[in-house]
Amino acid sequence: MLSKIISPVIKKYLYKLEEILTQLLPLDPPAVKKSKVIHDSLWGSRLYYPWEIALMDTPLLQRLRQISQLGTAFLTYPSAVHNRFSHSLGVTILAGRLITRLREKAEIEKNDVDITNRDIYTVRLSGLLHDIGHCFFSHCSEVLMYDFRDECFKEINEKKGFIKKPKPHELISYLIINSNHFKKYWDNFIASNFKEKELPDPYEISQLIVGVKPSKGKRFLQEIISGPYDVDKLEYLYRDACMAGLNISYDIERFFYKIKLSLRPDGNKRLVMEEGGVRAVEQLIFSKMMLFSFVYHHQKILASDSVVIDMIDELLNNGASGGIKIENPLDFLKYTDYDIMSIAVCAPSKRFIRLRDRIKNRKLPKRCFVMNREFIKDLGADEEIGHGWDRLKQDALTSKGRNKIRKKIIKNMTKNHLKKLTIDSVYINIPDLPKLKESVAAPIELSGGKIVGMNEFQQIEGWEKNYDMKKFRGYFFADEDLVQDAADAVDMVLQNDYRLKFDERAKREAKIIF
Amino acid sequence: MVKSRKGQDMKDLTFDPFTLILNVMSFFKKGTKIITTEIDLHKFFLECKKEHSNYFKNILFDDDPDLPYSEEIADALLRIEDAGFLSRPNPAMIDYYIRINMNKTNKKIPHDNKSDFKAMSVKFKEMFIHNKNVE
Repeated sequence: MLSKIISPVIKKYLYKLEEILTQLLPLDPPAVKKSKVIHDSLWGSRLYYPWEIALMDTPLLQRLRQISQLGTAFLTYPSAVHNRFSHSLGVTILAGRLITRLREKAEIEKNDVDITNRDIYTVRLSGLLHDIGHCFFSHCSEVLMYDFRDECFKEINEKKGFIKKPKPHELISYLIINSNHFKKYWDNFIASNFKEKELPDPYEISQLIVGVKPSKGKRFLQEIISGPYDVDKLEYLYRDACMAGLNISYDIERFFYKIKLSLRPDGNKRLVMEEGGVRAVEQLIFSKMMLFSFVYHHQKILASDSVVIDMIDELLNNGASGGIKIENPLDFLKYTDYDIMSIAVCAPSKRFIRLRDRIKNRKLPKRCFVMNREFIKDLGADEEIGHGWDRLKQDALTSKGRNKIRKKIIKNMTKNHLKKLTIDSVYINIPDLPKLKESVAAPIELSGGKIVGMNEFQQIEGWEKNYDMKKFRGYFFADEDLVQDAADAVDMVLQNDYRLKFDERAKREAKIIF
Repeated sequence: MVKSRKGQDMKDLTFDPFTLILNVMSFFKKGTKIITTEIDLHKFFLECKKEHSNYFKNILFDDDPDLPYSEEIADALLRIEDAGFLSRPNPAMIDYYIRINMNKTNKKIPHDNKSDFKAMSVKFKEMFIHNKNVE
């Protein structure tokens, strides 16, 4: 199946994937599966269908129990120890709830929306499988998979109608579901659970996950899984806030009651929010922004994530010889957070052990230089400075770029430092801004039936801009005894290489000066 | 300049979305007011994609008839604003201002591509700029 989609250039990846899946999806007949009620701390006791249980009970899904949903956030918020498995179960439930609510609503209003049982099974399965491509420490490992994503996606996209670039884990989920091995598993053990007319199509499931418009005009199926109103976002925001112990909430019931289907001029039925649901959408977007501020962009979490990203980078570079054998990013699928952190596993290098111990013992680097666009002198007065700031942020996205900057800083520090410094003495982490803009075009149906974007009701772009100017921070981190020297060296490198001069706030926020 | 298989010179069309939008805007003077919402900018670049498809090969769109949207365009606009080239000082966030003279950016546009970007900028002016600021 995959060979039809993908050119020979990436066949090496597909071969590897098929090999990995023989372990993660064994073709032994599973015990007869019945539906099960599973209790979740957020959504209560919920029923799962036999075919969902059959998939849940495979190593492919079970590994998600050992993959932390929030990377290393538990080192800052001790209770944030939830995992991808509970999130996937939650998304399954919310996907089912949303689509059945849409059907009920259409029946009451006597609208023919043509939502079949097959559609319900399809979106629930998409919810269950949407994160199977996630690897250890979730987004920390994903940071190192963008080259792989770009290499694969370039070729797939030419043949398929994607409306956005999938994230690396979404692309891997897509590849897994379209693999020959998954198809065999599906045909042997899953398909027989369904009546012929109600049998979902794995290919369609994979399309919903990566955001390819489904055929037959049922665009809403994809939007339930990936779009401005998707249940993935509803689930992770609620779960992340609850598990971190933060008092952030939104009215999910109102959200579900006020959402409906609308036939668009291109013949697609899409999810639209009624005017009365605008406040629920505002609450959701605001919650997302708050979570970025409190959790995803917390300086300590960015510091610990930086150390883990280096550990994973070390595995990619030297992982062919240790107990964790990594030849390319798909090998990540074979391991979980537990394997990476376990001292029982033969480590690939001394550097890896040093980095792992930093995480185990929470010996994290300290911030030494804090960046925000408002701290930059003369930004907006000179093209070169604008390009310099953008170039720095782009360089910070790749390990090659980050390591180049770190080496220069170390070189500057070594001149007046007796201690032997390594690249691990300094870290840089400039995170992405929260993507609130997708909500700008979130469709709202006015009382007369006209569809407008969410921006007609709320200046979401203004929220994003405010976050960028007032809350967003990029960081340099260093060992505790080096912060002063590191801050001076960072200052020098940014001036020389990027033409960026930061005012005193860069050091004051890092508590280097008072 | 890129060489084709037959050895003929071909235009390099691999501009990232940030550079692509900046090139279009580099034809306007500092202080130019761009009267538009972001949604209309997405509509504009979707139209550009139809005419200059090779420049937009790696830019994907949700082509909903009323609310087209591209993550790449949204990210690039954010980067351009963040880097200080554009600003939106008005509270309603509907107008953009070009904040810097982009002469250097304009000069960096390869000669072979200049007419394409000029054509896009003329369309851009017709739609969003109501004063005479095109150089």
